[in-house]
Amino acid sequence: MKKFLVAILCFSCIFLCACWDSRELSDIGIVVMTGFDLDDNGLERVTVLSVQPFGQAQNQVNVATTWMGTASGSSSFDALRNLRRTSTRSLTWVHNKIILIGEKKAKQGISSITDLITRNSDFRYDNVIFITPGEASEMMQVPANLEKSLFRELLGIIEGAGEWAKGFALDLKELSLSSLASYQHGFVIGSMGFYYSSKTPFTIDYQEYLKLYWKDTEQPLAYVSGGAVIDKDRLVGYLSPTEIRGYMILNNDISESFSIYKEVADPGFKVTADITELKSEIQFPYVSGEEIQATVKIKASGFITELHGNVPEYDEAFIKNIEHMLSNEIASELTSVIMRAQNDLRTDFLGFHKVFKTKHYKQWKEIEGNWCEVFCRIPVSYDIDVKIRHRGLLGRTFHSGEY
Amino acid sequence: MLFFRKQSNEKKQRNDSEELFKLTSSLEKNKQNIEKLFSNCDDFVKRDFMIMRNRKACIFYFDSMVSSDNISRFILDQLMELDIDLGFFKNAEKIKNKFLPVHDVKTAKESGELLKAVYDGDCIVLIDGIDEALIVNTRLSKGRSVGDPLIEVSAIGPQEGFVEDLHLNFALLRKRIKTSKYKIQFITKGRVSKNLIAIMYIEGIANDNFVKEIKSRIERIDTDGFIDSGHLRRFIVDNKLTPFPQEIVTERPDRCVNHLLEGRIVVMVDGSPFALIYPSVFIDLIKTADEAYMNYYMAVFLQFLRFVAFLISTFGSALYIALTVFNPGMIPTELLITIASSRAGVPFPAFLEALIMEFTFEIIREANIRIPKPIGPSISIVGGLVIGQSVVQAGIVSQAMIIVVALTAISAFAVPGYTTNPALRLIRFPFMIAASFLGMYGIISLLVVFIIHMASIRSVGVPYLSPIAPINFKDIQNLLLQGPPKDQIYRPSFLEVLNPVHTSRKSSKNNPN
Repeated sequence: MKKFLVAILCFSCIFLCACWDSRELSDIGIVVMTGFDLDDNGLERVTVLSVQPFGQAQNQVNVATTWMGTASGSSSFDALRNLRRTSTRSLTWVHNKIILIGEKKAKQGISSITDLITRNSDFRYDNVIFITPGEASEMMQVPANLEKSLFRELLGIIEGAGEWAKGFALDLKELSLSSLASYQHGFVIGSMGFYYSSKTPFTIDYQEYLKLYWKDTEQPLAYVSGGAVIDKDRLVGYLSPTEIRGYMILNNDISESFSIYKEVADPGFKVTADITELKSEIQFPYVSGEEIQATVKIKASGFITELHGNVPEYDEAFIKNIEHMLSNEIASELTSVIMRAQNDLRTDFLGFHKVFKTKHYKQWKEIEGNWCEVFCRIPVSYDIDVKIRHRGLLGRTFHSGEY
Repeated sequence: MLFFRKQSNEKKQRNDSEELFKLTSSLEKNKQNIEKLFSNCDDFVKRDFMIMRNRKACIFYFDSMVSSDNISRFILDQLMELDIDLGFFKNAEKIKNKFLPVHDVKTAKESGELLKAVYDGDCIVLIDGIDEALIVNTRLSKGRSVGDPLIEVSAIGPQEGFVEDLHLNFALLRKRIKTSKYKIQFITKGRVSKNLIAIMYIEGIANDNFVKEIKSRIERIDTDGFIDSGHLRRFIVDNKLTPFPQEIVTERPDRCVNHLLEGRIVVMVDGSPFALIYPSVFIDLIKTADEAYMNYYMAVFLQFLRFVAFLISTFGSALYIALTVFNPGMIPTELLITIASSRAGVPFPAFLEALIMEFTFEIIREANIRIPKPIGPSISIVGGLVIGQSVVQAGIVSQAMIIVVALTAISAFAVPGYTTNPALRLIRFPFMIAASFLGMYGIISLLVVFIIHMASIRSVGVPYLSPIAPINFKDIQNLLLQGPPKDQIYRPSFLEVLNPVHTSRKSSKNNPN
């Protein structure tokens, strides 16, 4: 009997904690994209895209609709809670994929958002953060072209950004690390936006085309390209697609490959190469007080994807020549982004300070407070070695006239 | 107060054992004694006749169990034809040796032996003036003949299964193990039914202590009788309050031989086609006889597959509940959206939904066993179609749930242990309940409880989780990985066998590979 009572007591324990955090799937809204803005009154405003599964009628299986909700509050979290005012479902952020910050909010400072999304376990580390020129809520109203919902479309574009190397996506983990390490010296966040186009982004038959009532008006199309520079918590400027590529080359962030184009006027030919492997390193060969010289050392290899025009002798020397030209091209790309950092934005978002800190810690301690000034004066030289691994399927060019 | 009258159990227990008597030289007296015992047994036959001109004799037998042809030809014909006075033949031994051309004839003086023989289908011959009875084997086997195994189907193994007749089963085993070391010991148990229980082992391999232990456990039984070997195992097991089987139940002679060679002990009961094999461990749940016949890699793969099936059938529904209700973050987004949209509109919480489907399936399964064969297919259509499809269309249960339940059900059949030990089906319900209260945390905590419970079980003294706990890598290699193909194969050490080498290294030396 005593045993039985103990068993009953133990069993009833499970009712004490009960199912306090249990939520049936049919009652939740799965938030997949969250946007942060400042509204006209200076309050924090959030906009969410939330997938709300709908009932399955007889012939209508797996219908899901994306709900767009927006609310303001005195803090971002307050605003997130205020969403409940209009939401029919209990919202969950565990499946959130994209975090978007409006320009106005980014200029005011992003640390409140960084804090919220790192502190809350609901936001997972694989979230990607973007800054949009304009308002996040406006960006989130862009209709999806082919996919059922904007977030799926954006996820597809983000995945492709690595292949393109002119778009950049920073995930939550990297954001929190960058915020910790480079608060004083700036870092880069991906940028997304939209543009208007009057072209239909999909093919349809003629009858369908005639039915389209909006074919003469311009439609917004979402893109991921370039980057935004954050310095001391605030947005200070945007980087163009080529500049973001320079940034990615310097930081070894190229995940797949990138292409380099060079037009040579003298013999008159054009060459494009795909660089598939790249390793870059920042070195400081001369350090003395505040007099510092930097060298960017790059080893890269790739292959020729396009070559036409008046190509001279197609031999090893010519390949060497092309390799040399491509090296210079990369160097000029790097120069433009370093110039941008040193002269225009005057912030070391390129990460020179990280290397300098680890390699010359003593000197770093001395000039730490003045790094921004020092960085803007550093002369940078380049040591770039590009190898062409193969020339594609063609051994010669069509213009050489020797066939 | 009538209902609450206390009943005295002692008084209720009546003497159900038979009275014993000794044979005398008077035929009349012996006949009287026997007839008194078998009064009201209308299938008991008594036939009077005369031998040696005027000597009275009598035979007794059960009509249903003897070959009447044999009785006429080898007993009545032989004895009635005797025409010389053999008055000096005072003992039965001489008659047995000279006039009864039957392969198995015994003499007996005690009624106990007599009765036992008559129950087995022997014929008793009593002759006036002799105080011994002749027991002549006239048994007629009327059971099922050896056929395919019904439950443990094997694709490439032998296609023979045990039958209800114990002696036929011995033949199936003896022809596979040709050694005098293969021992069969009989114990008769059951006050009324007097079942013959056989304990089989191979001397020199099986540990004597295990044989002694099983024998003493069977000896201790005091019951009216057994219906089946399944009934017997309740008396032998160490831990009665557990769904985990502590013995291997099989109807395959080849599997029995495999385990006998491993050093285990087989127990069979007359009237049951299922053999019990002791000691058994948890890993035996996923093992079949087939592995020995297969390619090494295939055998390992299939065991892995069965283990996965075991996990799915045990945790499938529980995981569905835990993931959808408590931890939706663990499901990939796209899948979550699919599940959620199939769940939308379902009026029940996930736990209730799972419970409804699991119970429905259990009912279908239970009904399927009892449905008469001619109407089986039509009922299956109702069960499968109506419940499977209509329930989803009506929006009572989600499609995802149907998939989960179907998967757990099919997986259960892939685990050999589930077919012979249906109690294992129960363990998924506690997991579902735990998942509905505490999610993944609940499943893991209950799993810990179950593992502690399993670690506490012993089968005839062998820890149930061996060779995993206590750990023995050589055993794991031999049992689960079947041993590397070229190497020496050892018998499992937890069986404490007397001769550890199963297959010596020599056997692979002839192999050019």
